[in-house]
Amino acid sequence: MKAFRRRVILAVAFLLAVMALVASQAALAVELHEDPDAARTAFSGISLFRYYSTSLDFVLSCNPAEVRARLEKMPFANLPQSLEPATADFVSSIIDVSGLVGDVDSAIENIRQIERQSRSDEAAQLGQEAVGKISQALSLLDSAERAVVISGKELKVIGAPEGSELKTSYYDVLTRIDRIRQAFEVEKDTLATLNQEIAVSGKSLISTRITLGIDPDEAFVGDEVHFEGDLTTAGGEVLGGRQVLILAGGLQLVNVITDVGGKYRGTLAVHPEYVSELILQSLYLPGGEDVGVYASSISPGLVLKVLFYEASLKLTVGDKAFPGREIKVSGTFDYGGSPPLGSRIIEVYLDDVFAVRTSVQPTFDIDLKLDTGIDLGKHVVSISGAAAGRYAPVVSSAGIEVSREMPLLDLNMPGVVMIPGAVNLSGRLYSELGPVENAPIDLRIGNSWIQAKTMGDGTFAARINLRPDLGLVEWRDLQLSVTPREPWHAPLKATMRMLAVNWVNCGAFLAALVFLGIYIPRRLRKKAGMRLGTGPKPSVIPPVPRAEPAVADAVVPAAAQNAEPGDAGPGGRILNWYRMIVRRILNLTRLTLLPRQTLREFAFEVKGVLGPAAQPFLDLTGMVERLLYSRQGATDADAARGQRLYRNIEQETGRFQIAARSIIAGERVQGVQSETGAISDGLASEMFGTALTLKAWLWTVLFLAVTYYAVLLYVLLLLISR
Amino acid sequence: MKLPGTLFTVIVMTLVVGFLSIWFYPTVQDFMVANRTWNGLKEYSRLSGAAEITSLSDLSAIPLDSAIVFIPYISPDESELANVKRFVEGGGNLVLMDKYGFGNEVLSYLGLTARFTNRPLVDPLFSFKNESLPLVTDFADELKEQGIKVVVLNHPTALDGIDRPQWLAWSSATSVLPDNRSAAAEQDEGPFPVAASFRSGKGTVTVVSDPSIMINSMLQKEDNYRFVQYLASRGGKEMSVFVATSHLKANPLDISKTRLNDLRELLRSPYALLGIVGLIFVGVSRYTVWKGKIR
Repeated sequence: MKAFRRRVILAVAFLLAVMALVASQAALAVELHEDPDAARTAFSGISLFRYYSTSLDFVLSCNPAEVRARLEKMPFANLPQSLEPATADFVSSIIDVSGLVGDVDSAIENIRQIERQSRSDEAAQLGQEAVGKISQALSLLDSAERAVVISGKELKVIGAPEGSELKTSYYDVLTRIDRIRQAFEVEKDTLATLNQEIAVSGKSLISTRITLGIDPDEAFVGDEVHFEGDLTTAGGEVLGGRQVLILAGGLQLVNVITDVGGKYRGTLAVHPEYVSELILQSLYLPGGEDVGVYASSISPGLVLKVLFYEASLKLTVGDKAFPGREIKVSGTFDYGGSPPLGSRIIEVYLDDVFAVRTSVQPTFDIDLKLDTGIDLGKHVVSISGAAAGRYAPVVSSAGIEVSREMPLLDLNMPGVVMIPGAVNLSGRLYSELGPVENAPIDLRIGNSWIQAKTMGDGTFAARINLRPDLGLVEWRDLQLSVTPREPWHAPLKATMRMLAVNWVNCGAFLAALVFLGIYIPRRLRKKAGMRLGTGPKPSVIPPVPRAEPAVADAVVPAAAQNAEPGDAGPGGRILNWYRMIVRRILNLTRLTLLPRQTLREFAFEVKGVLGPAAQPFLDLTGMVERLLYSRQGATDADAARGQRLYRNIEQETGRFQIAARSIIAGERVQGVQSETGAISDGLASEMFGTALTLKAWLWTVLFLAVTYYAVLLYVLLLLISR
Repeated sequence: MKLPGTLFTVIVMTLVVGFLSIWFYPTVQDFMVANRTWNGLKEYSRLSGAAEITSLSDLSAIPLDSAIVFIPYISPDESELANVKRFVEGGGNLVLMDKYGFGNEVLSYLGLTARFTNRPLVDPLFSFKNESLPLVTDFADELKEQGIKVVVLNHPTALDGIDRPQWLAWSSATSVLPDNRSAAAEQDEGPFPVAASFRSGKGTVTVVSDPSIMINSMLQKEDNYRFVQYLASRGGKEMSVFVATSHLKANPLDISKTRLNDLRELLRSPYALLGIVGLIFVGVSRYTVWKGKIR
């Protein structure tokens, strides 16, 4: 019990040591990152205010696009949740302000330009609008400033030391907002001044009036339209010899001179802009001596309906596109109800890169060659039909998928190969696009490798020598890798299986099995002088006649002779104990003593069945031998030891009483050996019941291993042969 | 049982328990495909179906329309670099992810001018929780078209030597690369590219300066998974993805696991089995003979 407990404690201690070692080793990882869910949270007010400042700089430099791009990222900023409303306010306010800065600047520029043209009314209107925008911008700046102040409170700027980066960056933002505010105030003053000038100049100029009429009010692109009108003052005075501009969509088309009656007329060609309508106006700008005398005037806009022919272009492209090959692009112009064009010029683009220009019929096919180095994947083919008189331009596009064609492989190879040996392979590589020519092929089976090349028709042949290895019968993969030279063929990797039989190893394996299963056991038996498992099986033990009293005389003749009746000395006691033990053993084993059998021979004969009592009995036998054959007598200490041995043997033989009865008395051998197999079988069958012995298990394992490989070989060969 | 027997039993038990512990104890090493903890790649492997390759010599067996995710924390040798180059130039897609490792050796061998700066990239404003977890919100148009808006990085570095048109993703203007060599030295200010793509032969090399976007705790953050998937499937084309773990630093536990696995493979060979059967046979026979001699 103690020994068992000690073993358990030792095992647990080792187990804990192993676990600790494993865990400590596992903990020795290098830190390259951190667990984001457990990461500490840290905000940077300095970065926030600096970012605000930089954004405001872009406002001052009139770059609204950059301002928008920067501030639209603010939702991704790492800020306390309490700052989100303030941040949103600042962002929306400053984005709007940046737009207004540009609007106000351009408004002021426009006003100046128009005012130079003596267009006072328009200038005054623009001026009013600009003032309104400035007021709006100032209001937004106030909102942005409030948002910054709130952010400062949340980020505890007030409590920061003077001169600290946080405080400095905070005040930088407020300073910039102030600067923008001042810029708007300046522009406000400028506008006020301009408006005053306009008002003054407008009052001193004589108003003019201009009219316009067109005929027809709808025309095809390129056709001529007749126009006419007159130019007078507000008081009815005609203004002859003045230049009048005819505008279309605000752009100048033609200019004419009024006649002495103040009338003007002319024709203009409808510009090929292919828009459904044009707004035509006539404009009088005072020039020469009229500057400072007359105000400019512009006629109301007249709508000219522009007619033209429209078409749609339907494109279809081939299913597959390959680098270095042509792809067919088919197109059809659909003019609807309009008269079709016999031919028109088209331009072909591949991914916005010009490819070809050609003249085509309403239905056409074009072969477009793709570059050998074109990227695989999606591309766009666009075709643009140029404008032609009344015919509007037309553009259409279609997507193509550029890929490489996977070659097909016809391979002739054996199903079973022998190792060591060689494999002859042949085959053909081809695809819908043609054979794979002059392509290098890598062929590999395990560690054996060879390179071949396809011919002009895609065929190839190769022979691979297979090196010996440690396998027996197993599937081997033939790996084939082809890198075609044609850009339209994709590289090919294929794997085929074949059964490899290593006939050398199979023979060696069978020889090893025979060696272990037959030769070695025979050698062992010869060496040990035993026949393992070949003797007769234990049978019912026939009862053996009880030994005659001569048994005791044969075993201890000297003791019987030397001992005086009633002699209880140490030697006598030892002999008595020995005698009692011998009787006990004879009763248990049903043995009979052999003639002239010595004490030691008897002890060795019964040793096998005594189990733990064997050694004590041998010791007791040794003591008796010394007592009988040596001149020294026994001492009390010897007697005490003899008594201990006697009791030990008595105790142990009482436990093994059943096992000891299994001895087959009729098959004892002269000398100290007995039937080991019978004894062990008997012991095993008694102690472990009728379970199989160890050697039976071993034979079973060997038999199963041989059977497994034989069946495997047979079945696989059957499968291959089909 | 006497002392030698007890000692033998305890030693055998310890070995068995030790082997079982090594076999079943979970790996916690960075970027290991079997690692389920916050710093492993188990989740990525599960979502993408990525297979693991444990040696760059396996590249020759991988189809060229595949993507290899390579994280080199061990210096690759000449033959391994040659395998990588052959794979890329043959049409494969290499996704090279590195920070403070040996990615520059791979780039140099492939003849590319791009380099990993191997300096920490931090962003004090646009970040997830703190400056070492910067956010990337600026992407090339092809990534924006995929709906990728935000990617979270984890202690990344930045790229260098790349022309602007080749940038796929870059940090914000508030990001910096602190120069640790001198406190007085000015910090480089962003934006810095963190992902870029190059053609090499018939294949592509995509470089990312933070492999940590793929770890279990980061993969589902914002658009990280979609970002990685797009890079691995260059152009949106479906590709088989392989994760090369051959150049990841293995701790002693992982080395033991690998060796135990190798031992298991070795013991599965026919001769090893035969040897074991023979040993058992010899042992049993000797025991039987010894028993006989005792009698």
